[in-house]
Amino acid sequence: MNIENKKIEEFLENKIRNSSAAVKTSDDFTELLMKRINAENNLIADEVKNDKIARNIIISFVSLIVIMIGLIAFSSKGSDADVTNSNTIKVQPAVQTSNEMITQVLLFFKNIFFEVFNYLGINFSMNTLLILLIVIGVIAVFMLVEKLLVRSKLKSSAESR
Amino acid sequence: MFIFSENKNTLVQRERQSSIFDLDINIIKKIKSGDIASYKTIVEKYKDKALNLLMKILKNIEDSEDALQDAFIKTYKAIVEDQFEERASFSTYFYRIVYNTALDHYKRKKSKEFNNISFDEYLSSGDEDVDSFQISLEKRFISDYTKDVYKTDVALANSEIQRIVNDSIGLMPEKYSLLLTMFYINDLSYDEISSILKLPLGTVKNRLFRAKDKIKEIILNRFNEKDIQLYL
Repeated sequence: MNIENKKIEEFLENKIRNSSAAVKTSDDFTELLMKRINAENNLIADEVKNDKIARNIIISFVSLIVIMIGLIAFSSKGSDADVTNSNTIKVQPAVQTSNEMITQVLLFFKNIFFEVFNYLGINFSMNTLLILLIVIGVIAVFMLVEKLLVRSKLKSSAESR
Repeated sequence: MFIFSENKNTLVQRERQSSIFDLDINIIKKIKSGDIASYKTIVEKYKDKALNLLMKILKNIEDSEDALQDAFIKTYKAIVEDQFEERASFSTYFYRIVYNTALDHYKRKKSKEFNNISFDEYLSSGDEDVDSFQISLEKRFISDYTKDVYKTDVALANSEIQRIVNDSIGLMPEKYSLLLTMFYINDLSYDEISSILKLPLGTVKNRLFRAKDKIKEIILNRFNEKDIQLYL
């Protein structure tokens, strides 16, 4: 390509670039868009707030379930030990008091559950309750993990939206 | 030699993109930190260039502006929701969103017209239609063919050449005009265009070359090469 041809190429390329000048957005385009952006921003803020609340509720619920499972397991182990070793081991008064408190708390939750399920016409044992709590706990953890996974997937597919 | 010229242009384009990249990243950081007003800078910078791209697909200013609003909102959400990774080029990311939004609007528009041909399919079809628009352009210009006037009036000749280029891009099949717009107006590289349109790199280069060559041919049919030297 000689110099003249090269100059013509550049001249033509500039003309192609200048062709964009013929197409312009309307005068109020930016103003309208910024209004929509502000509205969108409020929606995003609300969404973030709701997400945070939902996450906290799920985490609290999972924690409660885990604590209850722990308490039930601890209590049933304690009661087994009481039956077998009640005549051989002397329990210290402080430990006994804390055990009683845990048992009281456990009984309180247990009674609530049994009352609720009796009201619904369902009758089951302590072991069934334990399994049920584990199942609820697993579902809650699954929901939490899924929420986090969905968020990361959304992040990667944003370009194609 | 043509390849040499293209490589030089690509280098210049790369340098320009690098400084644009840094500027965009600074603005994006501000937006992420809650400065919504900074987004206006992005809007002002890209709106007209992006509208040119949308016009090539949607062919209508109202539809193109609607799609552009949607594209800007999607981009904003992507920024604040941390979906845009700062190490990537913002302009490529943005134009990808613009192109995908245009496709969505195109599909919606075509479904209303009961036309099922998708733009992606059309874009991937063969290049046999490159010559068709030249005939209609030649016919259009033949009636007001007043070559001698331009020899004496450089400004008039320049504006006439600009008019021919504008009309050529407007009448050219979209698969060519879209590429010209993306390369020369949106300042995207061959690789970026290839990745956004999901076309092979060779097809992108070939179509760009053919599109530019056609415009050059139309202009040289109307103006002598020696005369054009006077307008440079």
